Amino acid sequence: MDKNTIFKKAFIDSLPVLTGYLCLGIGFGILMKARGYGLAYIIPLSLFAFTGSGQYLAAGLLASDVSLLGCAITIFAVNARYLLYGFSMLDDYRDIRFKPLMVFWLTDETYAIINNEKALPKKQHHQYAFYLSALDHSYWLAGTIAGGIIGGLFVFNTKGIDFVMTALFLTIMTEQWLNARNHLPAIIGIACSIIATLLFKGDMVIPSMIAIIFILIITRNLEAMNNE
Amino acid sequence: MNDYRAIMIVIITILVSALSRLLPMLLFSKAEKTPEIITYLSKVLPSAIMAFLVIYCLKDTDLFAGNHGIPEALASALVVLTYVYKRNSLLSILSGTLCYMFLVQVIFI
Repeated sequence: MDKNTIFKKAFIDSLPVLTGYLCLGIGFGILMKARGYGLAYIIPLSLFAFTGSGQYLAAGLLASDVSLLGCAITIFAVNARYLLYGFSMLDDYRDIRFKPLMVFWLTDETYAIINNEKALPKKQHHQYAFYLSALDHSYWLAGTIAGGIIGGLFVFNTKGIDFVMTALFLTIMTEQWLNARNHLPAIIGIACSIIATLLFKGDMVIPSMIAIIFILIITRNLEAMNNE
Repeated sequence: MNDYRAIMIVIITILVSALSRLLPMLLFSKAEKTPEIITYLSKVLPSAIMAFLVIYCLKDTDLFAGNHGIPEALASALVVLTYVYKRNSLLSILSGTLCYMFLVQVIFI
């Protein structure tokens, strides 16, 4: 396959992402604009952070009184799944060109599609991954900028638009729940967060994270003991 | 002061996002075996964290005052149900958000 054919293949495979990123991106842009943060904030985030759920979270944190350390931990918590992508791509991306850029470009959707492509030989697979990642990033950038502009053009009642973030996380959680055989991690996550909210209200982020990691490690050790 | 906080949050978001993606490559580029505890956590953390994020988003809902969390409960149920039946995240996110905006703007004022 020549470069053009690979690009076409990447473009066609990226069409679902095009729809998704444009809609979610426009939602993010409108949300930021509604909060009083325009393109000067939207463009650096979309260009250099490039993280859907992380940016929605940042938009929420901008309006909160969470400490900066709490913000960093919260965003790291939502982006912790990128660690997983980074790990599992170590092999596939071992000798890819522009490796740091390719790793930076990993998102839920990009990761899923690249892992789904198994037909091409290594070098063409890498080219495909490059085109797909670049396309996905451009969709996100275009969507968020469009949202920032639209949000400034019309004045509409945005009360309740924050729910877009809750809905985003809910769909990912439902997807994971439907695919998982072991529901314990999700249950631990819910239980720890609810208890931490009851105890610490707005400061629930750090206690929840500590409790979740602590209990996950304990349950692993218990399982290991049971298996012996 | 507010601008300072906003700019810091933007910088933090950028740095933390980059770090979470690049860390595995920086730590384990030399083909060594990944520590078992990290493999385990990277397997179970995503679903625990997503559950945490849902609660985090809903943490300011007051069950004993105002609307008693009814709009949140209805819109969340719509998101989950549409997702279970259609498996289309965009559809679920859009319908849930529009439903919630309608509820808090028109029904439960």
